[in-house]
Amino acid sequence: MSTETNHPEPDLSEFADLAVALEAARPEPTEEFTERLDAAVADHFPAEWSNESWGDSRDGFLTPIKRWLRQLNRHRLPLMAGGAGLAVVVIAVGIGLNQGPDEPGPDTPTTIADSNSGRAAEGELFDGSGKATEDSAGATAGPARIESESLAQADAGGHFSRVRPTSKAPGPYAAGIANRKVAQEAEITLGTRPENVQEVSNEIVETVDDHNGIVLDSSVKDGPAGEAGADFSLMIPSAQLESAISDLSGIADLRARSQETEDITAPTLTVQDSLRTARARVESLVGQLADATTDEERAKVEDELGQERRKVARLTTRLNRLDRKANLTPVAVTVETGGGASADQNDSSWGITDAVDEAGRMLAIAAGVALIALAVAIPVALLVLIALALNRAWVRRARRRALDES
Amino acid sequence: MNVTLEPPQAVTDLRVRTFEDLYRGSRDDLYAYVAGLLRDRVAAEDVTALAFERAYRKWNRFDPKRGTARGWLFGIARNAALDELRKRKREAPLTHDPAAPEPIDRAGEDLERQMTVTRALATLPAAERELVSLKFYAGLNNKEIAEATGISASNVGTRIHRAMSKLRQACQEAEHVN
Repeated sequence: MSTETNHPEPDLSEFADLAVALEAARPEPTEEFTERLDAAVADHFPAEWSNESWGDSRDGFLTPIKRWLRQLNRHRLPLMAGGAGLAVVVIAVGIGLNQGPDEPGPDTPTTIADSNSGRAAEGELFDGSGKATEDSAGATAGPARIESESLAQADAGGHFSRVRPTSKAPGPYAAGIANRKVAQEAEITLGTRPENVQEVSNEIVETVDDHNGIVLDSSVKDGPAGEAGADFSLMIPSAQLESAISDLSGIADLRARSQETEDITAPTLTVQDSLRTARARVESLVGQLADATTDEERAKVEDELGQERRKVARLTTRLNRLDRKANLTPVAVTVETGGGASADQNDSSWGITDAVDEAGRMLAIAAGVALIALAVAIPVALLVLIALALNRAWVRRARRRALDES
Repeated sequence: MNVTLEPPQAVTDLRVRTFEDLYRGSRDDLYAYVAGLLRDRVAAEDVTALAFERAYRKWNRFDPKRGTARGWLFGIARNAALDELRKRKREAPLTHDPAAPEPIDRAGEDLERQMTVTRALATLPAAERELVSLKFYAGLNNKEIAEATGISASNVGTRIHRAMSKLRQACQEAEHVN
């Protein structure tokens, strides 16, 4: 008998007769079968072959999935997988760009390119007249105070600057009050080159005029970069505040912008109520004075009437002050030179530094998205590997048992 | 009679360069092994075809350093055959196999002896029937059997010897009954 060099085979010569009988009894395939199989091999097992009667009898719990995958075109499968992967990456990057570092959050600023949407958000708070709309009443009610800070390194168009709206706790008086009174304050810091300070200052004044505002105070200083600059203290009609700030932001390189909003509805209502009461009291006292019959009585009523009239005057002044606070918004504009990369360039230019910054930001986002994708993919891959290993072990065990029990 | 234990159609030193080489040298051997294990011609054809298809799909993953091509191929066929046994057990256990391979009446050979051996082989447990089929139907050497079954090569010889002893005893009992 034949022997293997490394594995000497035991002597089976005592079973020679059995071996001959076994050889003679060896099952042979039918011609029909061998012809079909030969043809399949010659055709390299075409796809139709797999779908014919030769079924896959191995049936672990992943077998249905494997069958489904096998049914897919072998060449299409990598393309489909690649396409699906690409779609996932594109979606993830899209989500990352929309919700990444620009998403408004406690510590995350938004772009002012998104500041249009920021304005839209503010538009929800204020209607065209600068008063709060009813929809926003709940959010800005009572002695609420809403701030929107912005940190900007932006071009003149206001792109790429950051806005961070923050909201303090709403007050309890808001619901159902239509005419809200809101006091606002704003600060803008613009950057430009020293030789452009005067020009920028002139444009600021023109913009204020265009919006029917008032320049309360201004100072312009010449000098080298870092020293040259200007400061403006403005009063802008609240109804035009948004457009005025937008125009002011576009005059030069927007470096910073902040806005504070304070709901003064509650104090206004309180003063109005007090004023109404005081006026009613005055009228009542005037009636009492007319009805007074004695000098002593008349003097007492006049004294009280004087006090009430002073109170009415005081409350009227307070109310006027509150109205003025609601109707006119103080805006501080600072023009500075030096310190900003973009200040050394054309005010509205978008240079290579910006491009590098933007590219870095995009890369950081992409890396973040990739990290998130990995954080999802690794546990999933581990689960799949465990499932495959379990399936393999289960199939092996089942095969062993099938052999033992047959 | 000139007795040889050289397995029929043995291709002990098959130098397989292509899948076609492997197929041509193993087709009938593989069928014989599967038919001997399953005792069902139709199922044996299915499993044989499936095994060759799987081997073809995995051919570029075959590593000659890890074993012979025949050992690898018979391992694939063995898995498919055992899966068939499992399926058969789940669906409807065969108490009688109408399609069991019948011995071929070759000229000059004793038909009765062949039938006795075939019936005796059917009485062996599947694990032993498998080893006998691999050895004498498929013509694998012990190393290839070890590769196909996962049993150590030295153990293969021992087990085959034991299976042949049982087969002889079964043949003697069958002849005694007749």
